[in-house]
Amino acid sequence: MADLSPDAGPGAAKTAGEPVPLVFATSTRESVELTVHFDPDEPWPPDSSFRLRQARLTGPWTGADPRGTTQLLQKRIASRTGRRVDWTPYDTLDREIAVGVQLLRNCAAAQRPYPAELARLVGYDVDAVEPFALYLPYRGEPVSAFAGRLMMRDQRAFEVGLFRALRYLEAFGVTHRAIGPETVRWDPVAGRAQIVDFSRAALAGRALASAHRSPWLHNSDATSCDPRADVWSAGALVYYAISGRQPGDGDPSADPVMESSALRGLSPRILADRAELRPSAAEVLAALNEPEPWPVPQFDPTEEDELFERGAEDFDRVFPPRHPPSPPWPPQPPAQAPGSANNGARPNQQPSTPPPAAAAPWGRQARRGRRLWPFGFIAFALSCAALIPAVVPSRSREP
Amino acid sequence: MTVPIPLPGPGQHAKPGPVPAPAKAIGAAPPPPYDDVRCPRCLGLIHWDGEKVYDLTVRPPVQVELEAFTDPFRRAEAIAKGFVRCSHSTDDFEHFLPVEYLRYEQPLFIGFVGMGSTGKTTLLAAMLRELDLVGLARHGLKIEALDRNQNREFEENHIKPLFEQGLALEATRVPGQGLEFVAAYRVEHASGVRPVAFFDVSGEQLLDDRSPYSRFMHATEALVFLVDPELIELNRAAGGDPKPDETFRAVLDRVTRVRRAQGLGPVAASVVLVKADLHRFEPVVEKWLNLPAAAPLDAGMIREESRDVYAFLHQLKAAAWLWPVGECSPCTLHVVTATGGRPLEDADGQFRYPRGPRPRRVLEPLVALLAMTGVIASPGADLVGR
Repeated sequence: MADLSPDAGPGAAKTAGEPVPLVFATSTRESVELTVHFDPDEPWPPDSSFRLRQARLTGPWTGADPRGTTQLLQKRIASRTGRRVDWTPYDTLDREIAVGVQLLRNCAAAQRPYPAELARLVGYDVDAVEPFALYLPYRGEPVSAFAGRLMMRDQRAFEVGLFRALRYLEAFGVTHRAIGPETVRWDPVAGRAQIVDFSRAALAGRALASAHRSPWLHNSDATSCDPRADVWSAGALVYYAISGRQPGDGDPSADPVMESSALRGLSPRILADRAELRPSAAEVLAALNEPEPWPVPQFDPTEEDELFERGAEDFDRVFPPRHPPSPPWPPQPPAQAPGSANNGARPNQQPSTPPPAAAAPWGRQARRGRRLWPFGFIAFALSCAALIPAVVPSRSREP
Repeated sequence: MTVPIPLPGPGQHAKPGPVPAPAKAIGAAPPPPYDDVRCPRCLGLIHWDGEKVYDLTVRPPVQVELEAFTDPFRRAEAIAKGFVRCSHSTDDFEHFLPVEYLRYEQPLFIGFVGMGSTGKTTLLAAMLRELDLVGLARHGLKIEALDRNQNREFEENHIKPLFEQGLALEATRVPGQGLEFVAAYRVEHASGVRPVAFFDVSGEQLLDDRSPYSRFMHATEALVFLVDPELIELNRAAGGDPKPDETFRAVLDRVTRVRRAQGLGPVAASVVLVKADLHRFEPVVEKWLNLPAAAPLDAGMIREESRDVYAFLHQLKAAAWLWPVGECSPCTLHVVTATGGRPLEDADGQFRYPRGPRPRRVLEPLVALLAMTGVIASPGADLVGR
């Protein structure tokens, strides 16, 4: 078997900081070669297969950002010795790149610039000794760095920014499924949230082979592709950012720190146990009187889409369907998100179902019991939320 | 090395094969003589009186003295374990086949069609390895190697270098060869036993209309056409719409002509998008590569995959590669990667897969072909490819 030691692959620097060639493919499968200096790896959980490091270009490159970029972020799989290969991290990286490519293509199809609220994939090499994905540098810092210390003046901007980022994902038909303190970043200077790490993301309508369990994902969403799974996670994350309390550690309905939150009135619905009871990101923004970041983007079919559709029609003519549709494979749990048309790349633009009148409890643990919001208090909270823009200047930005 | 099919000698001309024999009961050996089974090594029709068998455990092979067995059970056992000398053997090319090869249904010949660089040998290696490791029990089939010596050659020369050393296999470049017998398996299904023989059809030689390998055209019932996305890209880079692999038309024209002359219908085919890892981030390719193999056979899912591949080739402006779909029936299309990625050049100048090959969905085209040729007869199998 090939030598899998870290210095075996092409591009491995003999000493840290030496310029090395970095060859990768873009989302359109063009090959690019740059010369970079790699910084040392950033701190990473010891049991993780992934490493992050900055790649500093020897000159500006306009391939990903027309203004030119001189720095990229490389996420790679550290090579390991040993005969037995664990394919899990490679599948994870593949999924992350697949979602990144799809986000870029959907942007191109909508003829819109790529939103800064989502980490931007630049390129990849999955055949290297240490396969990697390249990104434009992440913005700001992760929520984990300031949890419990989010300034009151930044709260609304953070909340709006987070749901704006979710709205982009929702429009693109992508469910992140790992919204949490490490995957959401906040740039207070730009007043913008950014969602990173799409390794657990799912495209709308796509079957999930395995469940993902995380304290930041509601149990009922373990195998869900419904974008409202992210809404629950975002609600839990807002509470964490403001109070420092993780899901299950506190009850936002009774926590005084949430009084200043723009989401206070919405949190019972946002934190509903079932996805179909939760509002969409678009509905949350509307309730906060925030503009739609992309007024219902129109995804004009590309030439490739049209060729694909034409081919599919031709196939149906040659082979008319003669048998009933097959059950989904692999077998799926109920309550999946509505799927998208054609080749699975188009976003889900369906609005969510309206919620029932009764509020849902916070958190997942039954030991916390159930508390119901009085209807009068809901009305009062919504009124407060509506008044907040008049009192606190909005720091949300147009893309 | 796989055994190349030799050129016919004087007087040895191709004869059309008969219509495949009907299914026979498992274990019920038909009475000899046999003269309607085609040898996979020389493609001639085997004539066997049912009496002469050879022992290949010694060198040179010796004829077994069957009259020495007074116990009919031991005599039958000796025959079952023995080998038949092909009636077309020559001094230069003496060859033998297991008796098992002749005793059941007409062997199913499956040809893998494509130019030398399309990865036929790699796909065959991945497929046969998967057959040995996993089998097709999920479809009610019991699979065994028919001639372990023959299969062992392919294993030593191709499967082990690829899967144990991670070495990329070189493109087939054996001069003068257009057809190679790779391996044969005994496939036991619900209503009988059918030998299945795999052939590597290295199309460059078959482009010559005077090729002596036309006997293969008489015998083949199923073809696997390899669509190579690297070739599609090369053609596109050279300008203009991608042109299809010329061997497709060369093989299919001849097979169609021969079968029509015999009163047979079109040949069954699977069109396979190989090296699908090159397009792994396309939604349709990503969807199928990451889907576990379904069991039992699902004609609807096969149709869905076929539709996606068909449409995807249109998307690549490579619709010309779909020509077999219009000429073969039944026909399916599949997404496959035999290695899961591209090899890298190591310090010794050899190309290796850093983590070893990772085949995906390599058995699905074979499953579809076995359904289309009646070997798999589970509910819905008759709808596959139609």
